[in-house]
Amino acid sequence: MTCLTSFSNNLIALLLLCCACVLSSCSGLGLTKPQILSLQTEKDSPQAAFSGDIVWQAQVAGGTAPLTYEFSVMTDKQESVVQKGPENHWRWRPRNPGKFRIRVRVEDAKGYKAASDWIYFRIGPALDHNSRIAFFPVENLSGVKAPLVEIGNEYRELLRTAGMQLLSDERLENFTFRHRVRYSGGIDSELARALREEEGVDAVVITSLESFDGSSSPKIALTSRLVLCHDTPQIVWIDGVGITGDDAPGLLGLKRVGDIEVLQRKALRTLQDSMEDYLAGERHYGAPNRAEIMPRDFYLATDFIPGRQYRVAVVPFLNRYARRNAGFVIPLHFVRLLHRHANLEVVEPGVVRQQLLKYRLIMQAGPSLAVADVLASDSTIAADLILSGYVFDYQDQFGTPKIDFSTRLFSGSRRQIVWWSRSYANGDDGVYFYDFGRYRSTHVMLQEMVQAIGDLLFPQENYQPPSAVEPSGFSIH
Amino acid sequence: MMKMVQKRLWIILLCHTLLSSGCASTGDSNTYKNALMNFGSVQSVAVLPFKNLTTDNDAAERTRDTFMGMLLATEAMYVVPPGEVERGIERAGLRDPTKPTTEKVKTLGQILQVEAIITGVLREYGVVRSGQTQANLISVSVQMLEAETGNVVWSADSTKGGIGIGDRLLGGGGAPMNQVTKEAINDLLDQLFE
Repeated sequence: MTCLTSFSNNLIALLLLCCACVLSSCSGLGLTKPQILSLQTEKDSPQAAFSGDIVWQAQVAGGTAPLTYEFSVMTDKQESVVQKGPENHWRWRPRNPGKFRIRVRVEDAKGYKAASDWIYFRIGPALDHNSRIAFFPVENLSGVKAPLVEIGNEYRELLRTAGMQLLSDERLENFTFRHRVRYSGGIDSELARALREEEGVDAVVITSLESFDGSSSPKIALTSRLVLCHDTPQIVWIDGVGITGDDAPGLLGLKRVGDIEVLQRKALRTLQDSMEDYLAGERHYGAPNRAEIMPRDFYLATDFIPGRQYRVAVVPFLNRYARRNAGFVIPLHFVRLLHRHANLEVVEPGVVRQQLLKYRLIMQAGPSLAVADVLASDSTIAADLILSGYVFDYQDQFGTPKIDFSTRLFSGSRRQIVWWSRSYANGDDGVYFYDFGRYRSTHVMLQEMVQAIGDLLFPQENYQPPSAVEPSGFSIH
Repeated sequence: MMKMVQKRLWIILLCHTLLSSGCASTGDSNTYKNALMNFGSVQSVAVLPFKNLTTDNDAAERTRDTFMGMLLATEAMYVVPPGEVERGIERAGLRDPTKPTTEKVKTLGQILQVEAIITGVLREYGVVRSGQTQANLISVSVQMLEAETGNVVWSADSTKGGIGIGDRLLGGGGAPMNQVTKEAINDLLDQLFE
């Protein structure tokens, strides 16, 4: 009898336990671990960059509420957390072409975790060979007289022979006449809209001549970019090239190039190849640098989170007795560098210029808080970060290259400086044995100085997820 | 024997005198620090354009930029960006920003929301020559003014570079100008935070 009672007690206890388990799982109290049922989007791979939002939705069963969803993207073997929070969906706005892998991790209140499989998704370029492209006249930032028309014609012909659909010269001329376009170094929102609506143009090629020397030891440096004619113009591709006739002189100088036209062709072909790579769907990172030239001094706010999504406006640098247009050349390099970072959206310089002119923002000593407020406002360009600086020296015409500049990165929301650096270098720094290690192109030297700043500011390997560090204001100030 | 002892005593005395005088010269002879000022309360400062007493037009701006950056990098205080300082100068109606009056310092402090204003004078900047030898030299002095009262609470100067014995003996152009500037500013910051 005692045995029977104990048996029935056990049975009742077991039944009660089962009942409790079932009830708790039904009410979501979570004795079960979370399980990811699906991670999907309504759009199929591949999609073109800038073609709209791709919404990823995660469906999860079980787990103790509240659940935390962490969406990650992997590109080139580098994983970055793009969203972390209670939302089970993530709105993806891809800007660069490439092969991506997406996954979601879920963590419940009790710390149980689950992760989905990686889902492959391909993003194609925003443009293809059927896109209609307007070729803007080459902007001269070299500070000297240069055959801009010839350079522009040759570049245009190269692009045309590569199969690009360029807007005819006559139509472009009529358009620029109608809209009184005088500035060819950028494109603003209104002009982009007009080009799209009136001429059916999808993108604009904007080219800047940074340096030109047609003498017996020639040199040329160019930067070119493709900008989408959306309501807010978007840079989809940007690259630059800087070469001199003495880059590879060879034995007894036999391979020295003394003809500027040869160099010019080589430079334009390099740009064309890079653009072709982009149109073929490859993500372009530019040529690998020889070595980085680190800034001599820098300051980085301790609580600045480099891995967050930022919208960056690069304003012209203040020219302090450097050569003409030096204040426009250095920002172009920064635009090119920052465009490579997946978490940064660089505002087209033409749009920044438009806002500066619209609000009559004169910066005698760099951007003030008022200027930063205007650029950070949602009604203008909603920039999270504003990059500015001073140029003290920029020598690219004669003799050894020499650059001296400082940069400041201003946080629009915090209204404070988060980065300052001072960089200076001579082309013959550290040259002890013949010409080994000598820089001949100021463009190349500047590229390496800018690259070093980019690596310090936005290090790719030391990525921290956005919500891992809580912003707590400036640490010590 | 006596002469020998006297000679040794003289040498010891001479050495002592030299050492003492050497120690005295490294003291903070050109630094003034208000003993009553609580420098820890200075959270943010504005650095006004430096007065340029040299023939190099952009030397003062170069030095100021380096000073502002290096002071910011200490993280001891926030340095208001130069664009904002310029705006403050305009709003305060400061005709000569290199030497503000007490009243203007107070006004600037209110406009820029800072606890202190720093002014500076660049006295020497560039190459100095002596015979066949040349080297870069900088001489700069700075002052910190309390924004609430307009009083000077810290003043210091620094001279770096110039022709040393090594330069005279071995030649060479001395350290680069930017390097010398950095040394001088480091020296000033050391004086501020010591």
